[in-house]
Amino acid sequence: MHKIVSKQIIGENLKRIEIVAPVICKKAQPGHFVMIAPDDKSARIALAIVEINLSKETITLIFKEDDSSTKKLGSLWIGDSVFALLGPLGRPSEIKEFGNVLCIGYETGVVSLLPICRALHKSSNKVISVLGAKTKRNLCLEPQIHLCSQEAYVMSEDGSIGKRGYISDSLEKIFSEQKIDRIYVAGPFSVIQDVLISVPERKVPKKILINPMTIDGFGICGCDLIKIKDRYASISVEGPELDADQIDFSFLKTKMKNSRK
Amino acid sequence: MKRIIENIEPVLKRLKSFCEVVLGFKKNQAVLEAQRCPQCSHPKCIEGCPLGVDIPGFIRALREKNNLKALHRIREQNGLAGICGRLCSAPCEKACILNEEEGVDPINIKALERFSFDQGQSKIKQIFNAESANRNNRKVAVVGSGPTGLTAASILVEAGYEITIFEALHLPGGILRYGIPEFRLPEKALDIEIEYITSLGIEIKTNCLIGKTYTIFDLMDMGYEAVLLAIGASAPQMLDIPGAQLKGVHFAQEFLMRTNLAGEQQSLKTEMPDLFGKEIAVIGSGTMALDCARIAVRLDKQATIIHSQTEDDIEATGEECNHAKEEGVKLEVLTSPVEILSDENDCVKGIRCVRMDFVDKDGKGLWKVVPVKNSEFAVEADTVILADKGASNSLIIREMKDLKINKDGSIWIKKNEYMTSVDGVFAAGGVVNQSLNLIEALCQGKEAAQKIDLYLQKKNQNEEKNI
Repeated sequence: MHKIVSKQIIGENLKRIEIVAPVICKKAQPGHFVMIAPDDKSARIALAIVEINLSKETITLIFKEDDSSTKKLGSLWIGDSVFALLGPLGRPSEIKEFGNVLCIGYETGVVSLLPICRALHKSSNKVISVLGAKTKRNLCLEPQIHLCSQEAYVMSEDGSIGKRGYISDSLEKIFSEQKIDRIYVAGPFSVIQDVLISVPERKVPKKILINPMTIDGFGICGCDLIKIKDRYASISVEGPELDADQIDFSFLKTKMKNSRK
Repeated sequence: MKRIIENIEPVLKRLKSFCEVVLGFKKNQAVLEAQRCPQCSHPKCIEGCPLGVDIPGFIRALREKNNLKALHRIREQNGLAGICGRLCSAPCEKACILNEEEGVDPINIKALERFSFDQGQSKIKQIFNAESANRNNRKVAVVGSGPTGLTAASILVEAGYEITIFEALHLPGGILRYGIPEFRLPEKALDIEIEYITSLGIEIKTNCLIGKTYTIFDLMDMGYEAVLLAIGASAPQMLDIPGAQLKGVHFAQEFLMRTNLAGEQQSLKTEMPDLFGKEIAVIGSGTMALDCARIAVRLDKQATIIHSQTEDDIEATGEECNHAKEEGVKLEVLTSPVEILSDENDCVKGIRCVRMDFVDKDGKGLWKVVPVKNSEFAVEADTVILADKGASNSLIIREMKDLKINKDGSIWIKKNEYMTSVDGVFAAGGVVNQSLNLIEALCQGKEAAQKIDLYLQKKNQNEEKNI
């Protein structure tokens, strides 16, 4: 039923597939994700909806082949159908005209950041992007991010692309040049934490994007339960975009460090 | 004549696989047990069964060796005979008149029900009656394909409505699919039951999460005149003790989902070592805790259940407790967890517990379980499974602001009406009352279906009047 209509290899182990999903594409908004199972034997995985095409009734997903389910998904051909597709899940991002928005993404974290960047760009925000990676090979979706950003910076830890250094090294310059009204950060927890500590301006609203490590996608399994203020909430229900100022970071840190996909 | 007990798989064989533990009756055993039934003129067992199954009637059919007739007799009131015959808490047996006689055990009704299903289901051919289906030309949506939803759907379809069940997972069955292990309810038995339900003319839409894929208002726009929310209560609840976020702490829901939804049970043994440790401590007191522990021992792990009350207070049948103990599950009763202990890497290394005991504080005979002073000790474990009761799934509630919610998070319904605060939207089962057992959930599904029928009949009459 959910047929793959196009498939591209866009990076090392990084694939982009377009799937027919007539019901999901009508409801999907930036920030939403889907649960997908390539066949009846593979575990369901959560993937961000990157693009929506209403005329073709398709959604586009980008994923890195790093476990058995994603490898299986990557091995499907154009014309094959996926076994299960559930969505749109999670809460959509709040998109309006904020002013100057800083979008930070590290390696595959950029996948979930891209639809939000595009929506912010469309809503007349000035999008300033910073992409980071260990090395040039791990950098994802750089041209796509460039297209929806007024300013884009690339940082690599070995200097193979862009400037040499960590994402946090670039923040001071950006903040000194302009007033930032909102920040989005996507990537592994260590990077998110590093970036949030290095933000010179404390009062800017900070949003983090966390990929839900869930089995069901709607908050039943409890794998992605985190603490927000004084209550427990599931990332797949409240997220993937979360308010960094309200999250119990020590709880999230142990959880993220130890969560298994 | 003594009560005949069902055949049980030997322990050693059980531990090597996920095969069903209770094997049921053989043909001659079932006939002998059926012959014990006194066939009372005022059967108390029917009164004891929340669904009102004609128990003496189906037992009579079994005596005549007519298993198909017995199954038909059960299905007049209960569409899930094969599931009830395996998982029901059997209140009918407690009501059986033989209990009143000294030294005589009640009839093994549950086992006979299961026998009727196992023997009778293969003989059932076509059931779908195209004339009866949708004779009212009205559509009803059932959200959730768990026990409550399936029961309600089977009753509504027989009343002539066009029924669609919406299920969020890729396979129907709800908690029966992902919450009950194979050794208690084989997938095959569940598949047969679902096949039976769909053969009545019910459509099941999987991969469809109401509240996200469609909202309740979308369903109403699609022509569904009533919606039944039977979404259960399985959202995990965090245990409020220090260390609950550590590496190695999991919810029972995750553990059960991973094991039950795994494509091949045998592959679990090879994949699970990375996910769960060697010594598993389960905190909880219900069948969910027992199920987790019993799965763990089948995956070559040590399992301990930590329970703050006595063994008799474990909310499972004594039979299940005994099976668990036979399989090597350790029970730490009258023990309450205080803290989950961690090592330097934030991994679980044990649970600090305290012993509990009964104390009559006021001398009024009101014995309460309280912690014993200076009785702290540690239970070694590298994995902790939290198997507390679930809460109502909040997703649908969040998406529909008009739904009135009780303090405990369950959906408010008009008493005995099953209608929520939104006209045409009904709710039943775990989402209304979080402490229901299987048979009570089925009963709610049945009652809610009857109320929906009444509501739609009334609506129909009003419409006709207006014309």
